[in-house]
Amino acid sequence: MPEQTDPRIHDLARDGLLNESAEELYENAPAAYFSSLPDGTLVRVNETLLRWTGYSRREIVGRKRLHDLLPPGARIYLETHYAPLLQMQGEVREIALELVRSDGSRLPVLMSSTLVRDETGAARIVRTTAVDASERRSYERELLRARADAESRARAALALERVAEGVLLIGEDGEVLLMNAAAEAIFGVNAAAAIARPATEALAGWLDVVSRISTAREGEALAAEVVPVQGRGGELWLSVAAAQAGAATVFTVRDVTGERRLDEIRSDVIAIVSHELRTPLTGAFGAAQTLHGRYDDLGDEQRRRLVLMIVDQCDRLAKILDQILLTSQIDRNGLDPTLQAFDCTEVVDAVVRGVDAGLRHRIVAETSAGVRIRADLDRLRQVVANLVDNALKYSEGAVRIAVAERDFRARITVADDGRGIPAAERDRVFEKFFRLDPVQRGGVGGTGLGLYIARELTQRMGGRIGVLPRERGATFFVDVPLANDI
Amino acid sequence: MRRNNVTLGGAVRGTPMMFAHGFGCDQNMWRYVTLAFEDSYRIVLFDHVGAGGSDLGAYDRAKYGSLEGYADDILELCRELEFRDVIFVGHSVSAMMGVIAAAKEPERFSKLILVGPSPRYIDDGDYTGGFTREDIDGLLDSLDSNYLGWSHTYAPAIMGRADRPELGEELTNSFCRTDPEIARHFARVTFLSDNREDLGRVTTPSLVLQCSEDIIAPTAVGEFVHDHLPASELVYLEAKGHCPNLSAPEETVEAIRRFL
Repeated sequence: MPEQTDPRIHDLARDGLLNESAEELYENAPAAYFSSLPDGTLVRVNETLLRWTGYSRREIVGRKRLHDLLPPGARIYLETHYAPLLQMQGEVREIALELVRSDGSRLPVLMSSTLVRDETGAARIVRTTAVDASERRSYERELLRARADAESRARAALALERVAEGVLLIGEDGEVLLMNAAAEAIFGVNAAAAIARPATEALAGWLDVVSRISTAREGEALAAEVVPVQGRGGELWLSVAAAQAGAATVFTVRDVTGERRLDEIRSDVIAIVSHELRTPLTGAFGAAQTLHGRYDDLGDEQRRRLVLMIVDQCDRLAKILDQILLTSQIDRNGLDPTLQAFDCTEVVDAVVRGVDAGLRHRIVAETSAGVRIRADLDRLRQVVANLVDNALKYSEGAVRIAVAERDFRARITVADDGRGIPAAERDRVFEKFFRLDPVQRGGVGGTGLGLYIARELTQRMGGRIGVLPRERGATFFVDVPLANDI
Repeated sequence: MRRNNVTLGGAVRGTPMMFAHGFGCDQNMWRYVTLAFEDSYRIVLFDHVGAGGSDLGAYDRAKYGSLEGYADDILELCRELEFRDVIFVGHSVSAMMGVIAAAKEPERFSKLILVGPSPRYIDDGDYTGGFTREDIDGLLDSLDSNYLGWSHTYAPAIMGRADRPELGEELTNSFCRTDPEIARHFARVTFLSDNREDLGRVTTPSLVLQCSEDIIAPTAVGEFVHDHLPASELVYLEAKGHCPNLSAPEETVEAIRRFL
């Protein structure tokens, strides 16, 4: 059977295109070939290298070293990496370098070299191939850029996750696109559970936010607004700013509930204090004016009553100021109690003696002598006096003070038959400025500091204070340690 | 010892001879030279932290932010091996690490052999180091381009395909491989260093080996080192390029032997 030859090969042979000499293949290969001495001196180069670099054979062969075809930075690389590798391995493959053309422009190449040694092992010649890597290099540069981008994005994501403020990205249709850890904490929801869902569904109180916040357009200054929001765990105050971010909106959210509460307390303090100071001052001032303007018209008895009124009102003023001072001392962690052992009855007697019950009240002391306690006498007297004051303020009729021993403690109780304290408020009555009747409908005045001071002083003495549940009236108790000197 | 991948060889009771590799390679680059000294010297080879088989986890950018960090490692190794009167052979940037170490603790070293030393690579006023700042940036580019090809870390990290086993294979150009970030940093620290002041502080007898046509450490730089290093000798080698220990080991060995 005659040999079957591909007819295309036959055609190429007929036209002389297969008569390629090795020389022809070397000179015009699609890669640059060159040979150099171990020191880099170029001794033979192909046409492709000349074409690529723009040099003539005469300019290069025997005159230039490989170093001269490289930019300075790459020369260092050649000396510190390429040459040592070649010496140690006998070959180097695919090293990315740039050739500098005669006009100074650069051609990215991938170079591979083989070191030829003679029989004594001496390095004689280095054969190198360089392929054009322009496209590959720009692709690699893209990769490097992509890597730098990815890194900077990762940094931005980390910053977003760690920033103290809540950040949310809400899409055009109101869906949650992104929320950071701080936002998760504020709304009490996992990002995973919220993302892609409508914000108004996923985030408690979101409707309150979007209905009140205006979105800053690009270039507009961001202004944060504080809005009350009905969150999962109760009312929150959020400081929110919104800015357009492409088609979406980015919200920055800060929980300012704590600060808001402080603000409220501060304005309460001013209102309460000015009111509380104003009332006795008005009383004293009125009495003084009457005395001054109509002194001669008044009888002795009337004058005596007016003077007494001035004294009473000034006494009340002084007490209020004392309470405020005491509170500020407590808040600054002052007031270390001086503990000593004494008979509890002394305290109760002192209080009963010091209180002016007036016509509406009766104070009944039910004490049995001999209950020795360990406390600060002055502070404990203040505590009991505050409780009695409180009872007098909120009730009419009898106020009972009792002392009893109980579980190695002395319990002092102060009971009234007033309107009592709802169960939910039993702890809160000891909070600073807390008042059962904030608008004072019942005409009951007070700074809201008496019970707070009582609790703080009791705790500093190692005691406990509280309200006992009762159907009618209120019973406060103070437990203090017994003296162990018996 | 593990940190610096220390290899001990040669004569157990011989005078210690410590070889420090330069930027770009590891202790392998001394393979043709150490043979000649194995019979009479204790041979100590090691890799700088960040290179070769060293513990990459010990790399600390602050410590190795100057050559002093590397010099401290050399002193630490001497202390741990209880070496005094060490013959220190440093190539390229390691030559300067030896200079810094010998200035700090002269009693540790009996002789310094500096192969292609340069106290400053960048030109500065009258001083010719051979390079400009831009050249160093070019080197960093070359480092980046080539790590794309052979690093385990780059491509998988970018492509999100860390599980591709073919990228973890042993690669051809393995002797000079190291972590790309460390290589960049070491390049910066090396080529931006300026230790000209340290030369005058060394009293140890020293040999400066100067190659011909060395672009990293040109002849003028070798002569500068010799002029400023009080007890130094300068020998011009016929070997061309920056690594005579690889390209002309016989000539290098001969020069060292004569000095010793």
